[in-house]
Amino acid sequence: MTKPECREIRRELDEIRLGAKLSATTMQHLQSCADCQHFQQQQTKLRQMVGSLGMVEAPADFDLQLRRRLANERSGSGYRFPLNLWPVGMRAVAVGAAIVLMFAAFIAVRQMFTPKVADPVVARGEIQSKESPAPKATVEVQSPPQEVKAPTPVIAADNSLQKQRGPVRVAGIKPRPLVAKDYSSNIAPVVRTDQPFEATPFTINASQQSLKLSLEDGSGVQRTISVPRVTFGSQRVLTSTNAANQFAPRGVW
Amino acid sequence: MLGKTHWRSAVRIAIALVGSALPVWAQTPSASEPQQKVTRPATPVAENKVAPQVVTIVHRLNGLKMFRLLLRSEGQLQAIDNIDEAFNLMDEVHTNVIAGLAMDDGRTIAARLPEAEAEFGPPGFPVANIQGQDAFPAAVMAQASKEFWVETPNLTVISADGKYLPVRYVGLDGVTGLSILQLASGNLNSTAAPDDTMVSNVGENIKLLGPEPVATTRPALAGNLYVRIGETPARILNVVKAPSGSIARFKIRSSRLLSPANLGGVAVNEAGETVGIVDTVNGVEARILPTALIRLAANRVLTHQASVPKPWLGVKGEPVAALTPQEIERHGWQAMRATNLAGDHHGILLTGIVPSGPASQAGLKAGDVILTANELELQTVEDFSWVLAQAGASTTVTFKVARPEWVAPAAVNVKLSESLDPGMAFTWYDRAASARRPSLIAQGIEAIALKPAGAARFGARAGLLVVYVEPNTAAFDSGLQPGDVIQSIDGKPVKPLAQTLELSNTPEQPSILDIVRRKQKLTVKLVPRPAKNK
Repeated sequence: MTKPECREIRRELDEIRLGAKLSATTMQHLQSCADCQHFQQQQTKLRQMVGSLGMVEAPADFDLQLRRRLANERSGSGYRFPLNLWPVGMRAVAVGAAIVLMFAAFIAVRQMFTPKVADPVVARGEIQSKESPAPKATVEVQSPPQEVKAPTPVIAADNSLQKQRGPVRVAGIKPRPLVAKDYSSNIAPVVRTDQPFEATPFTINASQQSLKLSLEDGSGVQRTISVPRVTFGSQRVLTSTNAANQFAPRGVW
Repeated sequence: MLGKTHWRSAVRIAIALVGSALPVWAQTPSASEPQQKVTRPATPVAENKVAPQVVTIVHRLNGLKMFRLLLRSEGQLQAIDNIDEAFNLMDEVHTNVIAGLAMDDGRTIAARLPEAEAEFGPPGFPVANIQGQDAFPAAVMAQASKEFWVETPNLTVISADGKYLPVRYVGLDGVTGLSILQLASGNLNSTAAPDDTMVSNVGENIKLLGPEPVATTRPALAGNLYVRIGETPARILNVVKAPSGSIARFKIRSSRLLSPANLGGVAVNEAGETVGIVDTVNGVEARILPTALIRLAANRVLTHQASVPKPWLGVKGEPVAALTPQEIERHGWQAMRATNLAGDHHGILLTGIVPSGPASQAGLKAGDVILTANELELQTVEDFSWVLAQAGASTTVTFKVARPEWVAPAAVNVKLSESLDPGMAFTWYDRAASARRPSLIAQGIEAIALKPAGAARFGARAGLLVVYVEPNTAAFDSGLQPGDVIQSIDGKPVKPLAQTLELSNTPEQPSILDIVRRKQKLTVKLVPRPAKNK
């Protein structure tokens, strides 16, 4: 037997399903070609082995986890700054801008350590706005210094987590001016399973098909019923009574 | 990367930029100077807080179960005319997402599954053998659980921290209508589970927690949806106590309009303690089943490891205290006696009696006023429900009854029946009564008539679609399965009308059923059993 023929035969052996019938040509070839026979036996064994492994069921939240992982990978995939693609002039501008930024940073750090500044400014806007009932709260960035008594231990309840305290002033030591948000006086979030926590969305694999049918009632009248794919709460979807808003009728025993 | 000339130009640019920035910098106020006010958009606050004892239950129903529900809920259903082309009997067609309450042991969950009825047989289906009557032996149930036709409820529990947990349906408590589920192991955090000692006060703020869909721009796979536990604020309006002194019901009022989606939600107070489960909503008000009763329900079902029916009397009524003398008069009472009754503020006025029901058989009539039950004076609906629940199904209760024609009240003994349907409609009994007739249902078959167009979806001509086969019946013995379409009985084509469901009713005359199963024609021999008298 020639090699191209063997290649053709093996391709068929490779593609055919387990237990399916082979073509007459292949059968004939197999009888006379030991190599191909061996190849067929190997293929059959492999498929049987794979078939015996059984189904592995993905967890119910598989798709959510997958998407989350993909999103994480996408965001943290190490984006490369394509400097080499820039023209030389642009590169010069970029380097110049970097120098300016470094200079600005130097100035800022220096200013931070200057002792003449009276009181710090704590950027409390974000935290305050959480406490504010109005959706768009106006926040004063400049605020008078807050004299705060010794912090009392607070159990990590929801509201307490969101409360921000002013800087603690200790006698004899001048407070440092801050140019960044100070979270040092915040209470560390403590996860306690017996305390309420924020609801995070999860996915539900709902029915993809809905039920729609037409029926005939006792008086011969035709009606069409369409059952929604998903319902929330203990409401009955199919009821001829007015029990949609109550689970058990009151006053019926 | 950069040549010498380019370095030079970079430095020049930098100097130019710094130079232009210096005047601006010089004008910038120092830290000691007053600064300008800046506005900043408020950070959205996540309003939804979840109590760890509140879980989400996903109950999926296939087409067959929905047909079963349809048959039982549509009293007037004659035949199915046509079905959607994409319909497949065994595919899931409905998903119900409900709140569940994790109990102390971390594995038992109580919830109101609105479609739990689809998981059971028709009235009379085997239930726990509480009173030693009318129940199927455990051996039969054990055998049944191994058979193909017993479809395990498709349930998933999602814990408050987002874990997906498989769960087992233990049974339904007929008194409260709660379904009791159990996890394989105690995985749930239930430190804030119901506390019998908890005292709830009128005016106390509570939250109704339950799953709700989340509108999101995030992509979801086909059929998937995002859900979270949402909350609805409310306040306790009043507390109704049972004769025992325990809380029978809470009434609450919300600042928002409540919807049927709030039904089954778990009510928790500000401390995160469970107050109860919502069982009725009406506008901005709702009624709450208290935690003590939820515990009792769970104990009943767990003790029997099966569904426990509720006692059934077969009456409809209203508390006299809620009626005016004129309203009482309309039920046959003379003006003077109606005024006296209304003034006494006690008793339950019966406004309807189910024909052939337990009350009817005991001689009770519409217009009667049940003053006491087992010597306990009745004032509210809750009082009456409590007495019946205490008595239990299949027991005899003694009522003191006043009747317009009677000079003085008289004692009436009524043997209570039982029902597994918590939302049992007043007309339901008609269907149960039909089970006594020598028909398919008496042989353990529940079927819906299919017209030719509908039957064609199953590869059959007009016939009867079997939606349920009761265990330990002739139909079960014959091997008939849900999903089969009966085309003819003893050679006679089945007409798609409910009245034609008659069968031979003697064991000597077996019936031959021509059926279509998965588009294949088969023959089933059905040897009838004598009709059961329930």
